[in-house]
Amino acid sequence: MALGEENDEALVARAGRGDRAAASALVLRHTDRIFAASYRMLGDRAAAEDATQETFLKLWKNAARWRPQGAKFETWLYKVAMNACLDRLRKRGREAPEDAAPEMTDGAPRADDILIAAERRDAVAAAIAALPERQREAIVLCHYQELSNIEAAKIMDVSVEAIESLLARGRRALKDALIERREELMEGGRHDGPSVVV
Amino acid sequence: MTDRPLSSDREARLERASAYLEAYGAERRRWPEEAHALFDQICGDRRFEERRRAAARLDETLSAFLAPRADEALKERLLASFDPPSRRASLLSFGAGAPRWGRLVPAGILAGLSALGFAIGAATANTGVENDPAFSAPATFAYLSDQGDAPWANE
Repeated sequence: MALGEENDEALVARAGRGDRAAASALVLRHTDRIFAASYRMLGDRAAAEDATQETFLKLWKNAARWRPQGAKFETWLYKVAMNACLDRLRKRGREAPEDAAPEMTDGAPRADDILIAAERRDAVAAAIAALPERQREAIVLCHYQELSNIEAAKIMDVSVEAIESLLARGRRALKDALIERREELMEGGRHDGPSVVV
Repeated sequence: MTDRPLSSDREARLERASAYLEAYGAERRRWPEEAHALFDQICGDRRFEERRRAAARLDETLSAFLAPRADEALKERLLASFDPPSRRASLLSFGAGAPRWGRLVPAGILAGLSALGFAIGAATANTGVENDPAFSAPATFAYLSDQGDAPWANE
């Protein structure tokens, strides 16, 4: 069986025995998703890379001892990544949402549609960064990473009902922050922040 | 009489479906599997569709937050940090995987070397050293007497 077809659990077992090819397959399979989740939690590339690196270091350290114990490997990996992100957020303290918004790629003039897309992205990023940690985590795992509510509950160590409550409250807060902005724009009112077209 | 329970059922269904909309958004695939039947039943209901459109607007807005892809340099760093655990374990815990008697081998070697050293020391204790003129007692005493500071110098 090719490495790319082996399931995660088999690859982890092989990596635990020192198989570099299995480790490489795990990196190729999971880095993008773990990095994306970390990026949405932390709002900047460097911090997301650090959290991803910490996650994989823990994987290498624990690969020889890792046993499924009823949880999927990916669930375990997300849990490690989310803990790494929460540690960073707590160290960082409560910052202004603007600080956590992704940096613009450059300052060169761009076409209007790109500018609007970038503004929308930054506005959503800022709104997500302003959410309480647990709501943000639930939104990132369920909405963006498209994990099931059961997987998200396992990762966050809460019940499915608690996940649903976090999601509903998070989405309500995002709606207030983003959809209301549209109302302001439609009314032609002045605003200081980035505009959002929804 | 029969309208009332039917209407009440419909209301309850709408409330449950609205709770799912609030948590999971407008897309059926995002709802938990056990709620798919409810979604199918209530689709087309005017009030549900209104709420669903509002949820869809939020979904669309959230989709603007695209995450960049992890770059190749990061993947290379992750792989470079892979330290084969089996090699590390074998270096750190010598003999840990060996059977119980096997773990005693290093201790036995050390004990044997200690015993050999002790035996060699004991065997040479009465030979050689005191016959060396440099270490003989008379010579040492004579040297001290010459210096005049030995306690027995005036005896």
